Amino acid sequence: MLLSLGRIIKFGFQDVWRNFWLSLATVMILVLTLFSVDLLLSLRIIGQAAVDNLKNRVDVSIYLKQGISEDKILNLKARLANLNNVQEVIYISQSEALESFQKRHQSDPEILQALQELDQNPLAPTLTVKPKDPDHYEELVEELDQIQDPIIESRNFQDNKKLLDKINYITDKINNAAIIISSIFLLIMILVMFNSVRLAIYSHRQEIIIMKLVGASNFFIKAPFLFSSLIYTFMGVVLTVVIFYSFLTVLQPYLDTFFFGYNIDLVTYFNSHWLEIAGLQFTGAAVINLLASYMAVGKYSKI
Amino acid sequence: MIQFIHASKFYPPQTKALDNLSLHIYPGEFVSIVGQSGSGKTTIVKCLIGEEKLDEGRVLVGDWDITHISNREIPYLRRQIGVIFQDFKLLPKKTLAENVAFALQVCGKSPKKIKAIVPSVMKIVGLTEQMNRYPNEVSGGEQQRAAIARALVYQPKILIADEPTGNLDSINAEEIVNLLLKINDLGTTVILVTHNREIVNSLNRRVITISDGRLVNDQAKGKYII
Repeated sequence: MLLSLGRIIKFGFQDVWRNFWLSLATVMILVLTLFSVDLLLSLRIIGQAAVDNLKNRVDVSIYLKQGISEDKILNLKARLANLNNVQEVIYISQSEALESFQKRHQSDPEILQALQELDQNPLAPTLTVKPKDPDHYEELVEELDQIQDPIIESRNFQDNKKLLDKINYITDKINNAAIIISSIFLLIMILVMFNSVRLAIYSHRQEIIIMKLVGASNFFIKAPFLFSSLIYTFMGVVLTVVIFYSFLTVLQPYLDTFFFGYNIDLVTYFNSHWLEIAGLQFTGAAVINLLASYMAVGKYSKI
Repeated sequence: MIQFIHASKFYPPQTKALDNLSLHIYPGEFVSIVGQSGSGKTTIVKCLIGEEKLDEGRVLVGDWDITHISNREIPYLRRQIGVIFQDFKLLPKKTLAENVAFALQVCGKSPKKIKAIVPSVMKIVGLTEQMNRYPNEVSGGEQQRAAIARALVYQPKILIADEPTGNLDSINAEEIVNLLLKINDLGTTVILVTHNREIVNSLNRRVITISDGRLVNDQAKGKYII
């Protein structure tokens, strides 16, 4: 049994080596497919990081009237904090609001000068309400609408809602595109593997005839071709890891610049997850390739 | 040893390759099966090695009814029946010894056994000197001897030779027939399928004549009569 297994492995490697150019083309198609899957995964990671980041920024600002006592404000803050969909309520006093405004516009002397020309602090104290789950933003808005208090000057809901809708729309589009592109590559991979095994069988026609003639078992005849499809898969995954990692190290500085402040680090992500990603890709691709090879062997080895 | 009992085989649309054929070949016999092209000789060989299945009747090898043999059982049948063909079926990139060893490798024999068996069968067929040559470096007769050596590695009880001299000149053909006779003398049942009149007539052994899938003549010390 072990002897036969050893020979199946040996013949499998021989198949790959003796059909070098066919093997190379097959592995390259596999690399392209897996590379595109990795690329789509990266897009999802970037998209998800951007979405999470933006979701963290989703909040509702409740502007309060000026000159209200701190007690009343803290009382309102406590009422808001008790609402079901509220994670946190941050009180920004009038002076803090001014300080923050000045910091934000420190490079804009015209605005700072205009502020100085005013006799008093024009900014209102604010309560910033952060939702527990940005996806339940609507429910939060409904709850906040029911809160009536004379100290509330105005509320800011709509801009955040539009932003969230836009993010969800883009995320959905990215996911749909990813599924379509991956499906196309998957189909190509199946066809290429099927064809490679078919050609390998054709080039070993004479050997298969002789194996059958002298009484080799059907499993022994078919197994080397199935094993060679596993070799293709392994080589494809290893090459993809190497190429994709190199690609990421080149790409990361550009991502850092483009997504400044978003903390998107693909290299670190792949460093800590490469084994899972490569393992899953190998398992998935191996199952698909084995199925394609099995179909090809079943169809074409009946010589 | 081998029995065809009312065996019929049809090919679409209306070809009868075997038509109610009954014959019995006994252990240790040397039998020539003769007939014109398309008479059904090769169909008999194909049915014996499980490549084709009968539509009617039965075929037995020893006590084994192989009429409806499963694909899983075919390899075991083929290890008990050696077959050689007109075109030798040797792998050109392997030496003669490697070709013989290949038959043992693919059936799971250990390197130690292969090392012991290959030289001994090469000696039987007289290829000890040429065993490390490639098929294109030896004559047609020597290639056919290598094919016979390959067919003998499992010490089969039956050896089927399907037109073994078809690609050989008369001297090489005679050598191959002599080798088959020698193998028969060692106890192996030999079935020679041929339409070579001279060879059949020179053998003075049992001759079964097939025509249109039917047995038309069966003589113990027969001649080629068609």
